[in-house]
Amino acid sequence: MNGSVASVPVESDQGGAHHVEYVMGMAVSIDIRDADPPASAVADVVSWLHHVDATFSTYIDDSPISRLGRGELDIADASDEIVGVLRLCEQIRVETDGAFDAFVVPAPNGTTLDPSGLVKGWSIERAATMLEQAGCANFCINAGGDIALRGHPTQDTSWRVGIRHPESTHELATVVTAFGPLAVATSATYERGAHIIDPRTGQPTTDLASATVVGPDLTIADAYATAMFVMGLDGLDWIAAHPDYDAYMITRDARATWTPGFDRYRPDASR
Amino acid sequence: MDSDPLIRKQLDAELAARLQRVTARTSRTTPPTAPPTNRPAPSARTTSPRIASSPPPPPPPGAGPARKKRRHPARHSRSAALALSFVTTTGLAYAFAATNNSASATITAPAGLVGSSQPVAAAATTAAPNTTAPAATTAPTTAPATTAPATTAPPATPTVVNGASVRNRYGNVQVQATFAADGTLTNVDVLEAPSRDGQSVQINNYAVPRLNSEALTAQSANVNTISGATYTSIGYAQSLQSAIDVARANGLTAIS
Repeated sequence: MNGSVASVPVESDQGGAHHVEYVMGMAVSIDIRDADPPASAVADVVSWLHHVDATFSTYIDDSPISRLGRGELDIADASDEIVGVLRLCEQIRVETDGAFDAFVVPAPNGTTLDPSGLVKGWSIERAATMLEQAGCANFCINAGGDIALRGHPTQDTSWRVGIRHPESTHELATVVTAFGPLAVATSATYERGAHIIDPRTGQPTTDLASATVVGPDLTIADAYATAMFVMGLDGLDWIAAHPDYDAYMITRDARATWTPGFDRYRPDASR
Repeated sequence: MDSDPLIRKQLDAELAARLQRVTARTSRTTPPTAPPTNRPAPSARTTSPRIASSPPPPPPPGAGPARKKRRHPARHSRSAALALSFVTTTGLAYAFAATNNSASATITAPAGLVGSSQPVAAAATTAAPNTTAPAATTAPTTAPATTAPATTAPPATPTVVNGASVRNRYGNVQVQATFAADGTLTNVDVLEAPSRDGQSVQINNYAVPRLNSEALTAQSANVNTISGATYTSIGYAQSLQSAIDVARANGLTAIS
């Protein structure tokens, strides 16, 4: 994004720190609930996110990922960071039998190299680790619906993450309730005309309005959510084999379907 | 995951090969096509009936051309205005998440939601506002949700918070949110909007509480954050969210 930086640092009178940064094409909310977070913690995360954007954005023509996709940058000359991300993408492609694939779907930069389906979650998971290393234990980072949770919002309360209703901007389909560490990622096409391409067919997916994945690691959850969206309801059988990860899917006809394990995050849901 | 050097070497060779195909493909223009796959019947899952949604549903947020990705440059100021009107609603979704804590203590699942294969969200609609008893007064039939009250007293006077100035492909958007003493979002002014200088979108004091009460469904009470919400958002919603976040961080709308 060209200079599209909006930055809102906040001094909270409750202790903690809250910061909203516009980066990677979205508003990233960093909500730290610890009493006295180090002053540098948020700043370090913010500069990390801008670094990720500059490195991996497929909207920036001269980003390393764009140059790599056009063959102007050789993989042998790419940073360990880029190679590491692409390795992760490949591992998840194999694992998902091609439902997640960073190498075949057309990207905004005109190439078909686009690890965005993993990079957002990966960068936020890293950001969460940075905050932990800085001594923070209780926080929520929300990057366009991809969420990393740690600890709890206040003493003895759990985080409550609303999962959006696909047909209405002001309603929720359900609420995920949990203590951290936990990752929540939602892949969706709420807008009419928007679509996610099935890398296995090259065609837009049609079954789902949204796919939410909950689990321990946001890198994995983000990529799985993309894969789940592509797999459709069949993805529930696939992800049910991963005991740490659960999914909640909403179909285009507004029916919700979820893995049995997802109910552990809904203690107050009627069932 | 890739600690074995042999596996790593193999992986890197595969990476290089796939990148070569990417660069080869980039010089062509034909998109890949293939027939859709067959989907076998699912098994390991729980299914609800159709999610209870607003009948009729509100206008889809993406109904206008303005909802396309930013790779498509804006051409018409009308598109921007259209998008702005849609994201007004989107932005309010954040307000519900942030402001309903004070009213949510008694909210529990309505009786109609009991059962594992029941609708997961009963919700009112903007087209047909709920004029009967709101969700908050529904007699609890099950154990109530976590209901820790707000921990800080809200300030006694309305508070005005400027959202971040957010650039989207139409230009910069900045909103100013006004919160009542109890933390309720009462007004949103657009300080800066693309394509129309001085345009101000007013949300009156009646509309916001009405929308708020509609959003107070069994499932929407008292959330810290929303997954999936920002997929439809552009500048307005982002700026409004930042204003709400600021207000919340300052104890106006303490949550949980």
